[in-house]
Amino acid sequence: MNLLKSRRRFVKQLLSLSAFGAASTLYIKKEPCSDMNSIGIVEGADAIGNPDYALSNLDDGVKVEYVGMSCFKITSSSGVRIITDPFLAEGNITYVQLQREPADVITVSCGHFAHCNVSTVGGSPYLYQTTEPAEIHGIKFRGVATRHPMICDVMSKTEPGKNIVACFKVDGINFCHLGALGHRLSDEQIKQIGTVDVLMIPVGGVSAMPVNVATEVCGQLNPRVVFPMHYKSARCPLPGWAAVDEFLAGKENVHRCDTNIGSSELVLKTSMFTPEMQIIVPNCVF
Amino acid sequence: MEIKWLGLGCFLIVSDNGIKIITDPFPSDENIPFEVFTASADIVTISHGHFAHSYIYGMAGVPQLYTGPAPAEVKGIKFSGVPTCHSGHKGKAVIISFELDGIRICHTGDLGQKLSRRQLAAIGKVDILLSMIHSSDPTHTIQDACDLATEVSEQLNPKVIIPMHRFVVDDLDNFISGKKNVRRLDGSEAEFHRDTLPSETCIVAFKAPFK
Repeated sequence: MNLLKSRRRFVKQLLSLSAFGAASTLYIKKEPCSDMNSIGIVEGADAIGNPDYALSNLDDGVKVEYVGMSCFKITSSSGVRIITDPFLAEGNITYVQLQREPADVITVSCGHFAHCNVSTVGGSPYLYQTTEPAEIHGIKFRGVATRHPMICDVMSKTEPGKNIVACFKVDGINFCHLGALGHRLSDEQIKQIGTVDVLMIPVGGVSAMPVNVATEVCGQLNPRVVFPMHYKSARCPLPGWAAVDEFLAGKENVHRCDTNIGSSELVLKTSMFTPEMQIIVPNCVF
Repeated sequence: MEIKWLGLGCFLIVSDNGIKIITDPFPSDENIPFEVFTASADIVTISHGHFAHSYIYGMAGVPQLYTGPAPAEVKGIKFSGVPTCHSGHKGKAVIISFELDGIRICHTGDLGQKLSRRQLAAIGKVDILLSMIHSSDPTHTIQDACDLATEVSEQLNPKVIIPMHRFVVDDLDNFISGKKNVRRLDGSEAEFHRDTLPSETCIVAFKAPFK
């Protein structure tokens, strides 16, 4: 997307966010970032090639955008762009897929087309889909081996059932993307995952864990913010899957950004964290 | 450098100083009689999103991807991409070119058209052409697909053409029939050096690496 369009969109989001009451404005106070160079400047980044780099000067905090399915675009305050589980819009998936969206890192949890279609990502991103820790553009990535339900084995015959939980820390915030996790976590897995501030968790069941297990896993990891993902919706009417409402039922501190026009781009800063877990249902960026 | 054909559109290219590039990786599948690549590579190029060309899961390590079409420099190697029409009008595919060890390599992806002057200008010089000689267009015969590949190779005029062909039909014989300077290799890999590239266009047909 070009610089002008994303800047316009950003300003629109900023205005619409402030239009809501305190309940929906999730402004996390930012940790002071001393000097840009210590966070890991994107190699060769400049404002023209990377609009997020320019935007990052307007903003302080981590931007989170939801593309659909299990795909998020996370942009650090220094402009490093991470895309999780890019999907191919095929069959029942009618979210708008990325169009060679430039990124610096792609994380992939499993080999199903709804999680590993990296051809939709442009730039020259590093691909993180392993349990070997790595530091990429100054951000430390860790992958934890888990399993997804065998029903999801359509295209991962190479490593049937394997699901990688991606953990990475951006601007002082610990992100954890569960991919298509199929089960509650073992003590060892919880230890490997470590502290979680922001959790992205599949709540649609079927090709990921059942919905009640998703609630349990939130309890196991105790994040400050939860982004449900990978659920049935109007743009993804997968038969037999659960809609996000099932996971949300009976829970407090729920922010339904998907039911209003704005809030497709959220800015997270650590001051937003409260002792209670906040659940944010993001709107899609496209 | 060394070029090894792994099957379909997938090549493992290793530069003189050890940089490994994988093009268009495919998955493990009962319909694909080639061994899926699960080792590590430094760079992976992907021409388009069809699963037989873009399957990266199971590869070890942390490679960098290039899907184009915007040019990028990855690990010191300049890549560029030119969007084209996929055969059978099944969307877009990108022709990816890069220079390694002084040799310009070009991978045609799943090309379904003759190249326009603009596309030719964007691709530039080609020394080694990895050429798709199969068409996904159901109205094309094997001969049509080979004829198109022949026309495109004449447009690009490389020194070496390495045909990548499907396994279900023997497109290769159609492609090489009537052509001069054809070398059929016993194996699926070969070494290339800038100084020993042929002066006249030569087709180097690798043996299909069936598992």
